[in-house]
Amino acid sequence: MPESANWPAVEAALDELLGLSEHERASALERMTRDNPELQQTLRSLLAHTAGTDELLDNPAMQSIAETRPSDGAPPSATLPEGTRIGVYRIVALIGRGGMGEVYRAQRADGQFEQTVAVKLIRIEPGASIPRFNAERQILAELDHPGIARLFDGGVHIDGRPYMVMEFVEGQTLAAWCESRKSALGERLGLFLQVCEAVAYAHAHLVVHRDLKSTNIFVTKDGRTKLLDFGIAKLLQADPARDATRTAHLSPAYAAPEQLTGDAITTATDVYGLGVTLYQLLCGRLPWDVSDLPLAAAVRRLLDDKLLPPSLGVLDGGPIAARELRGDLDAIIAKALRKQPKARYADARALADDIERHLRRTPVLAREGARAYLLGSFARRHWLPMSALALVFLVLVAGLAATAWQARTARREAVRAEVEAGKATAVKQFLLDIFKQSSVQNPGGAGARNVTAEKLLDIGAERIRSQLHEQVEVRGELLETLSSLYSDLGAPDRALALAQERIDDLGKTAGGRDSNAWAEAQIPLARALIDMGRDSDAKRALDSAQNVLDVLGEQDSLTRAEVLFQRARADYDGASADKAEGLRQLQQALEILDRVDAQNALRGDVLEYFGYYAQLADDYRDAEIWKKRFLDFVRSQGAQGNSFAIGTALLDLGDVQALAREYLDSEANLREAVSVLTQSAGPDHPSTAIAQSRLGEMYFRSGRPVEAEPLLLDALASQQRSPQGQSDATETRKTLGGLELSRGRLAEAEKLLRQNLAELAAKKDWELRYAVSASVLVSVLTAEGKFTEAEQQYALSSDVYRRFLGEKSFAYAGCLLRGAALELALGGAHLDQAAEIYARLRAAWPPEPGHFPEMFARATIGLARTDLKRGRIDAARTNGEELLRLIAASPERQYVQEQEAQAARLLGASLTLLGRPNDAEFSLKRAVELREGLDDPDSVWLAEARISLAEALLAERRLPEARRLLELAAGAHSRQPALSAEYRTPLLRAQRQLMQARAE
Amino acid sequence: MSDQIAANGDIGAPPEVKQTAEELMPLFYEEVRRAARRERRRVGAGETMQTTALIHEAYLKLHRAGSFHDEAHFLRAAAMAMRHSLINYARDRIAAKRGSGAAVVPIDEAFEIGMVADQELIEVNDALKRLAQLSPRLAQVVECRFFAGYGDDETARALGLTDRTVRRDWIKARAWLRREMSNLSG
Repeated sequence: MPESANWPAVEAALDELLGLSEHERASALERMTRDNPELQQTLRSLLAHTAGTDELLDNPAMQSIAETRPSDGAPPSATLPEGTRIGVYRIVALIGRGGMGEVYRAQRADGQFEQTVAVKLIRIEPGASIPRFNAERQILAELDHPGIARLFDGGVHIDGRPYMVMEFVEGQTLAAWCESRKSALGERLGLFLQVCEAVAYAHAHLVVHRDLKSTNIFVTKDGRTKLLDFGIAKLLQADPARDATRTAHLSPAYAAPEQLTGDAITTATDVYGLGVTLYQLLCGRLPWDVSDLPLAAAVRRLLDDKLLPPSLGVLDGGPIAARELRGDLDAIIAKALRKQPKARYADARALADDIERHLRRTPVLAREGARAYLLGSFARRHWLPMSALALVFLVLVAGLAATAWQARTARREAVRAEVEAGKATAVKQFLLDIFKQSSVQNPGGAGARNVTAEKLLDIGAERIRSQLHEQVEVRGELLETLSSLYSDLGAPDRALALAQERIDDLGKTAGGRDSNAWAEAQIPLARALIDMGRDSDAKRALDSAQNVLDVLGEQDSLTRAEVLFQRARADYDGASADKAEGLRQLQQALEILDRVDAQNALRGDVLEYFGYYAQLADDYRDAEIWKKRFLDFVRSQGAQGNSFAIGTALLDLGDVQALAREYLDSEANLREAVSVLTQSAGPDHPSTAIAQSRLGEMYFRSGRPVEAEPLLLDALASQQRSPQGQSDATETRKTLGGLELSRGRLAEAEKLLRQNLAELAAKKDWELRYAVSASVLVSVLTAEGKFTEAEQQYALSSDVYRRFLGEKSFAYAGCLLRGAALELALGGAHLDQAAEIYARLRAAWPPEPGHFPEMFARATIGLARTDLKRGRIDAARTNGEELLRLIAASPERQYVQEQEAQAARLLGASLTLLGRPNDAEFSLKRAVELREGLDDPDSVWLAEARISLAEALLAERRLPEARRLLELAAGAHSRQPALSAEYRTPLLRAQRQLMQARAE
Repeated sequence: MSDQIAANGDIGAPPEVKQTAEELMPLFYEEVRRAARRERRRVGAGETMQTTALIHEAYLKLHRAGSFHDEAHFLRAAAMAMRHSLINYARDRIAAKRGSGAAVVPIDEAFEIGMVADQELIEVNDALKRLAQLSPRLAQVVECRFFAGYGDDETARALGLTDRTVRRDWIKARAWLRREMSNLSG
């Protein structure tokens, strides 16, 4: 080769020439090669060859090698002509070709009947075995579901290619169908759910599709989806040991990561395929666009890259709007498309369920733990809406000056003036700026509409930190306001941080610690601390605030009133001495407000807390009055975001009415509360759950456990779903525990209460709540015969009750009752102790006109039981009769059925022992009947009543009836994992009696 | 197979690349065989997909086994393996048609295809070996772009060049090959 010696020179010259335009080239070439005709010739020749097309070199080599050029010039065809016989079918026409083979429309050729089918000729790998193919085919043929194209038959064609005969599906692909109708979200989801159904069916039959994509999903003209090519991918494998589908058959954009890496294929692989399909269906594009990427990058992308959420990926101008996808659907699709199979939904059923949850507007599992979704719930007052837009709307338009916080402080006047002058306050402006900013930052014009309020606050907090160093005033106002907003949102930890920052700022300025601003700054801090259960820390802060105010001589200020109020809040959960103090503080706060600003929102809070305090003191009448006042106040406040506040006010009122045994009023108010809260805050809002829980509790207290249970279970479920609902959940659980106990389900009761104890043990300042659950547990343990632990829990809880609630309180009396029952169960010398307690309680809570004397009744029942054990039968009988008379005469009879059942049983048991089984029968039958209506079928108490009745029947020698009852009781006992001898012994005794009687 | 690669000329690849190429050979050869049985006009995109899918799969396999250093290494090795596979197949097919000894390719396949393309491919390969002696880099660009069917981008990454350089190199190499082959045919 002539140029071998100086190829570098040739190449250099060529480079230069190629960089020039056509006409420049000629002259340049001349110039460069004036003295070198050989070089010139070479270059000319090379340049000439850069032009024009080259059939060989301009196409990839693979293409050339695959070219088919039969020597006789006839058109190439591997297509089967019309009329070709395949099995019992006759080819009609070619429908299409795919990576796996050809598909024909065919008809049955043996005259048996008219049937149009699709016949698919498969191209399988060399090395694939026909017997294996047949075996797989059998499995697929068993799939019989309207959503899956049936596989009828199969075989091997004469040309050696296997074929499958399938249901002929006429229609469009899912994407095309939706496109042609411009289907809305609901319709698409509905179709998708159909697909999931079909896939779930196949999964139940242990068949994985492996190649789910929208082109494999058809929709018939009656709107039914049908899946094609189910499991075919597996059929086509040569190597049965290799689980990985040949990549050649995969559609890369739909392939799950484990398909790409050759790891195990599971139902989760199909979930991934479904996820991609759904993404495509809703967004109009694939989740990962790899079509124009070079190979390695494509693979890397599919394996590593994060998913662009549907709401951001959706194409504009399509039938689905981004906001419809935000939230639930984003999360669901993300969960289906997780790289790790285990992190996805386990199967198509789980995916379908979550979509259905979304459609029903119940919380979607994919979002569990997502803090932004659910508001916090410790404090009852959560009036802030979730979306930032609504927040800003409230701030700007609803005339709230910036927030309720600002409205309550001394700044209020200045703020009001500014507002009236039409000026935006610093806070309003700030929030507005952030809002606009986050609208701009969100791509695709998605806007901040669904940015959560919390996120907005986060941005705000960050901005304060980074931008507002100099403007101390503005900074301070913003920190306090944002802290307050965080508290309103139920994020006390963040509220705390900001409040602390404000205080730190003040601490750095001269005289900062002695200023009014210092005192004011303690308030959001204290609020957050109380919300977190750190009452003592809160009190310290409030003390320092009060000191400052004292020094400054500020008596009549809103700041002072606010400080007093927060103190009262902190004292609420404290010991009784603190409570008296708390009430005093509330009173003072109220007086200040009356003098300074009667309509201030703080007044409402104060009224509310008066009600709580009264409730705590068992003065339910008083509490009811305060709560009514509070409700009126809230209603009078007008439009300021208030149906929520009305809802919570109704809730509190109904709650205290239940305690006051005014069940009709209570039920009405609680029901209204649930309804108002469901509408204003949503069915999943923590306050709605609390309302439901209280309604359930009311039913329980009024002796309607059957109505109570579903409400409580529902509320508990809702509360357990939310990270911030945990403390509410302990309340509900306590009530449920009591409910289970009353329905005779000891094991369930124990479980719930122990869960509570575990959760509450870790919380400071929550001794009382702990004690309440422990107290109920005492009764459970007593019934189970676990006396040692019962004694421990009793000692602990009664001590707390006494300290916090006082010896004269109703709640303490209730605690004593449990202690007495424990003594009773211990028997022997303890019986006298029990009797003494019961007698004392009867004396301390005598019947009064008006309401049913619940404590008196319970103590009487306890006494009667004790008397029976002590052998004082007649005393027991007298007490029992008296009590039943009381109940019968009471207008609350229907609410005290449980007590009636107990009293009736005791009466009957004593009559039997007195040798009057005939008379006993009436009462005992009544007892059993009542219990059957109240209790669980396996209830211990129901069994107890049946045993007593059986004893009476035995005495009358009515053996078969007695036997039946004892069998039922024995069954119930056998299903109780733990049960005290108190209950077992009577059964054994009665059974012995029965046997003896039969022997006679 | 290493002697095959040696015989075909390695156009300047480091030993580890050659080794990877050897690992890939059986896989690619099989795939080429399968691909060759299809009609050309059947699938436009599908055809490209086949190559892509093949290399795709190979990439993953080797990636999992950790048997290449980086992407460039892999891409180069794959290109080399592709070239060798194609050439081997073309030779085998010609041999089958001429009826010379052990036919590697079943006779019915052989009848479906013409000889022309096979011969041409072998000629390109021979010319390429000569080009490699002048400029290994240009030959490598041909190996990537023509034999393996890589785009400019992938070729650039395989060889550590810029897109622009690849495009320029291809123009030069192509011109050279065309000239070379037209000279030969007289």
